[in-house]
Amino acid sequence: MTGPRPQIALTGLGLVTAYGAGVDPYWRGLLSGCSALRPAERFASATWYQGEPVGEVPMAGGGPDAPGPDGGTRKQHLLETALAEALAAAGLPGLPAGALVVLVGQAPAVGAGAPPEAAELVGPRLRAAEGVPLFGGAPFYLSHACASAAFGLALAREALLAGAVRTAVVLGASALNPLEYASMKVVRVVSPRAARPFDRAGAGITIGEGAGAVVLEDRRSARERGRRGGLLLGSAVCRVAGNSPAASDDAVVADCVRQACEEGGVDRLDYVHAHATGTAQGDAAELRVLDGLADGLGQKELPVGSHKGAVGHLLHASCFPAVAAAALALRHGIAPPTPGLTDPAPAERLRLPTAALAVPGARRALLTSFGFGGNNAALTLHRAQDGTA
Amino acid sequence: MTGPVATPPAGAVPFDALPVAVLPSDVLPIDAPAAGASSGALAAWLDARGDAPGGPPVVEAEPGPLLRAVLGAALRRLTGEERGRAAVVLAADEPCVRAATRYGQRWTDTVRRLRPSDSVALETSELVRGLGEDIGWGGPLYLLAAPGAAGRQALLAACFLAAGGRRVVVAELVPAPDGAGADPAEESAGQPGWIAAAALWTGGPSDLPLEELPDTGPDAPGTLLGLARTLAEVRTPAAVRVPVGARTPAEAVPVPDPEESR
Repeated sequence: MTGPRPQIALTGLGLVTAYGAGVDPYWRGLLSGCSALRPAERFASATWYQGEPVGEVPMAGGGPDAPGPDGGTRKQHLLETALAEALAAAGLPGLPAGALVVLVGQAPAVGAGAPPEAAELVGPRLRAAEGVPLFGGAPFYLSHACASAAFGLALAREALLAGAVRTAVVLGASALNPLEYASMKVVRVVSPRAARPFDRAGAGITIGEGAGAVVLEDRRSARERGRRGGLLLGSAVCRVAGNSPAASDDAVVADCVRQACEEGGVDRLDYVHAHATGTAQGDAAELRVLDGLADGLGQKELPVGSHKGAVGHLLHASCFPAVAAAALALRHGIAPPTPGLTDPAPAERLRLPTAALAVPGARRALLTSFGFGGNNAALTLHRAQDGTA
Repeated sequence: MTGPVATPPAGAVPFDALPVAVLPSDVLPIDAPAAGASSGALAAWLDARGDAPGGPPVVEAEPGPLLRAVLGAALRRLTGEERGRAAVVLAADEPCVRAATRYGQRWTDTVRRLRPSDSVALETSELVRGLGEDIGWGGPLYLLAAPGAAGRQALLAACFLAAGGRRVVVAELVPAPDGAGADPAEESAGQPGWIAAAALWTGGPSDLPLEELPDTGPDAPGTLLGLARTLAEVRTPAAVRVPVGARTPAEAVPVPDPEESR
């Protein structure tokens, strides 16, 4: 490849969480420090459900089991709501012809013999892409466990850097369903109380639902059509590696965050939005790695947060709320608190805010995302030198 | 890599000795694939392929060791930083669908309780974890699963990843062409199996004539294997047949320690 590498701008973001539809309700909820986790209406009558809190999306009308208003699945409705917000934010009337669309999830479909409840485990079908001549002929479907969205952003960034496409959309959704809930229960990671990331009393994860969509563009193309393009995806590193199918591997995580900072040219971080699900081992491993990173960068009070005590763990879509938190932290110069955190675990060079923390002039943020099957990812977001995020 | 690999017959060219060649411009720009089959699929593989492209197929009893062996063979053609940073693009639509289907069936099974291994087995990427430890590979891997499109999209992704300055391995895991391939996490031996192929991408960003990609058919179970056949016709000089290796015990899916789970 010749010539300077293009800058990759994040020009649209859409989100649905237990705080409701939209990025703004999520940000306001996060800043409030209030958790949206509560017992599941959707599972209320299920004999297997033991009343653990979940991050359930309030669906207007029709109750918790209602399909989308247009007859699609709940997961489809969540996905399309997030996509509509992201496209509107990017000033796009729809998915652009020639765009790379990366849909993330467990699997695109199930075969014969799977129960009907599996409909919310897989897919969803992206109806907005039908009839659109996309790059590759159809949405790319990427499956990397709970790090899927981060892997999707990394793949999209590579396509944009190579000039293969001018626009990429990465999106995914997770709807509360008994199959995925059982898959987390059987490995005994579901907390009986709302998740408390980074807290000494953390007892596991809380499962949430929701969706996210991110529009990425070559910044020059974005500016040509009048977008500011002031928030950049500076780097994205992902690896499938590690010693265990279900546990964080310090060395691999450390390698990912170090590479992400190196590739992003980051010599100082203003905020880290961590994967931090609320499990003792996973959170501790992440804190060790981030503490070492802060040491390497010569920082003493690096703010670190997590959204999983606020809206729960969105599984394959879990990186989208992380992107939103980091993007808005840079935009507003505020490190959001971690809802659920009251008694922070020790970390020498990190600050784990329990209330919104001013970070004036914030320019660079790091995100981490991990999943079963050895999936590890780290991304950096930057405010452009010549623009606001 | 775990488990044995069948010993190539005398005179067979080992994978690692194969040259990494840039193909003529009228041939698709991938190197002769490393390929293999799980032992249950070997007969189908030989029926379908006759001439094994690029050398003798790797034979493993289970899809995880099979896939890691085939990917490792392709990555070993690179050295140093090129290998360390290489990207792997894996087309695995059918394995993903089957893993989700199997999990759904297990979830409904009223006799057999759901196990932690069932949760782990949902993730097809688990078949690859551990690949890099022995060979110094630390690059990205992208697991693509769009039904019927993952193979072509893997080649497109290889194209733009290469344009970004990485060496790229494109790979595919598909059921045996008899259509009865096993679930990738199936414990029982004797199941019809899986076929894996991996190849180095040797072309540039404009080398991919998508319209010329061979169609998937009963004797070419996936796009990359279709390409393998094309390449075999172009430049594989002789048929190489490999005896079925000793069947290994089923690959155990490790049970996660709940205290360590994410």
